[in-house]
Amino acid sequence: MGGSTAIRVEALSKTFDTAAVLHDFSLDVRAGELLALLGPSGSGKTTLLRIIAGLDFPDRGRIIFGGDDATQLPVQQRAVGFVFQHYALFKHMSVAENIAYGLNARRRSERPAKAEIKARVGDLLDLIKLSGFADRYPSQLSGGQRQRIALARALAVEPRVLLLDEPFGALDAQVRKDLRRWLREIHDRTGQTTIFVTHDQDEALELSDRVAVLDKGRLEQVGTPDEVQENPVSATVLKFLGDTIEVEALARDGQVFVQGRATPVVARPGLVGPVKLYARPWQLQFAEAHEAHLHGTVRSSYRTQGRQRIEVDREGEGKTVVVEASDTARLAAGLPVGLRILGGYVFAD
Amino acid sequence: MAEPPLRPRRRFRQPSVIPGFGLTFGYTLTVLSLIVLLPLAALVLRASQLGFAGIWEVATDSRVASALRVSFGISLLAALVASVFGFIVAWVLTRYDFPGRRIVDAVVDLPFALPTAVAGIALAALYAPNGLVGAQLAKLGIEAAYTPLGIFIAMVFIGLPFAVRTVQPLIVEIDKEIEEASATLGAGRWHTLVKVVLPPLIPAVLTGFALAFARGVGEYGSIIFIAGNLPYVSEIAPLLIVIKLSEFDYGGACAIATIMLGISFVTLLAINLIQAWSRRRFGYV
Repeated sequence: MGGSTAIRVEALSKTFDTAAVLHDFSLDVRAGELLALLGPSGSGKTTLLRIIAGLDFPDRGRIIFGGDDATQLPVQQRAVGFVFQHYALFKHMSVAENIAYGLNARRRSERPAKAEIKARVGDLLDLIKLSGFADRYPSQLSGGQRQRIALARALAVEPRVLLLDEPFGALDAQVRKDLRRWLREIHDRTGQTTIFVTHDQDEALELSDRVAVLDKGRLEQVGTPDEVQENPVSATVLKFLGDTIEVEALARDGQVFVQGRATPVVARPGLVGPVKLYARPWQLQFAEAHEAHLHGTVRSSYRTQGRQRIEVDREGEGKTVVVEASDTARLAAGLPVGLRILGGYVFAD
Repeated sequence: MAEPPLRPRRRFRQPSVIPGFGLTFGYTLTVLSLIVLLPLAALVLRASQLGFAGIWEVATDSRVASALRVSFGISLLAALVASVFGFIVAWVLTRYDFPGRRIVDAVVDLPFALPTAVAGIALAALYAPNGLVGAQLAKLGIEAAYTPLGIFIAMVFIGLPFAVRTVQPLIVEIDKEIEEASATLGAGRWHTLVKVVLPPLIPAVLTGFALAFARGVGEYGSIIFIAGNLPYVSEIAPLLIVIKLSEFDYGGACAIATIMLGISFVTLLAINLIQAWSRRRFGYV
């Protein structure tokens, strides 16, 4: 991965009407990396992407492209490739015309020769594996094909950064998975600096070199998929990256206790008193009552991809937790069980 | 228009979960026959009593021929102008928000609702040499009222709402992302407008043009007040029909009407075909 900074987002703030969508937001994008902006809806991720593209303008702060201040640069001059969730293809143009659009829109002095444009379109069609489709119209294509065309159209102008706004959001699950893998391949081949917005944590973790987790207009954490999963900086990040179980706990001398019983979870130095313990479904184990941290009864269980997921109603609290176990026999509903915490994360209450 | 051929029975009536095909189709045929087809058939029948030679004689009569030229020529021109300005009006009304937008939007429909004679008298008063606008035009040496220009003005007036109302819903539906996509690809506003925004609107503009044209050809009330009705110069074909009727020359009146019907039908059919082609061309499959 190139270490140099391709795009620097500096202290960006943006307010729509009265609601703030970005607060003093800063982020460096490295050259050649595939960066995911991950966050729930309303976290400001799409606004950030649009400000980088020049489709929206910030109230405060700067966008720097490779050392040059681009904050006031109009979208046409930013040389970004933007891919929209709903493709935004030009319906009255053939696939080839769509891809060539950006090149044909250039001033005559900068426009490549006709033959050159044609060759470039051919190369891109090969890249997106739609070689025979040059003369089709968008309405004759499937959603996945349309999004590939949209990507080729954005790549045609050789942008300095490729921006994708929920690129797979409108596609069904199988196509989504194929396109993800395919986008990764294209990225590895072209080395194009790419930022993509998603609310799907699997997509972000599978696809990206680094993930930036956003919440309420602020950057919670940025790091490689492994970093954010292993060392989440906040409960927000942790909860957003997957199913979690939340348990009241007590920290003392670096140890964490649940219902008076010690757990293997280690508390940061200085974290003392009532805390919240968060565990993943696979960090719980069924245990005998005298070893268990939690007690409850089985509500239901189901199998998915070789794992058994069991919903347990916790005693007293009325909360339901999900436990993941290897593929064991189905547990009958109503069965009283004990759960032991094997690991997790602790944050101040 | 032509129904698909009846060959296999099942193709004619495709199975549908919605009942009532027989009822609705019968109703359509009945209404269409009573209100449109029968009167037109009667018209053609009456004209045919003159025989083909008789109709031809009426058509080539120099006064009739020049009236037809005035009617169709100015209608086409007026429909063209109404389409251009109607498009601009529709664009402004949908793309911009300004105080009084709703009122302007309502005003667009007035030519629909106004009795045509009222419109004609108003236009004539306004454009007459001593009228508000006419006086200014007279200074420039332009005579509007009582000339073919007057006919043109009246036809644009009554055609405008058609041009506005047919494109307006499509302008509303223009996807903002399409324009943004064009901008990110480096295209300026003008390029985006010409290459991306306008082409998909062409079929609707053509529809508006056809409607404005048809209305212009058939218009009578507003025009006769402003046209001056000078034979060979500013006399429209519908007026000639009324004159023939008042002279009890029913055959002649029907002959002119049949000729107008024929020309209108061919013109509208041609516009329809262009439209069907453009719909395919511009991605409405």
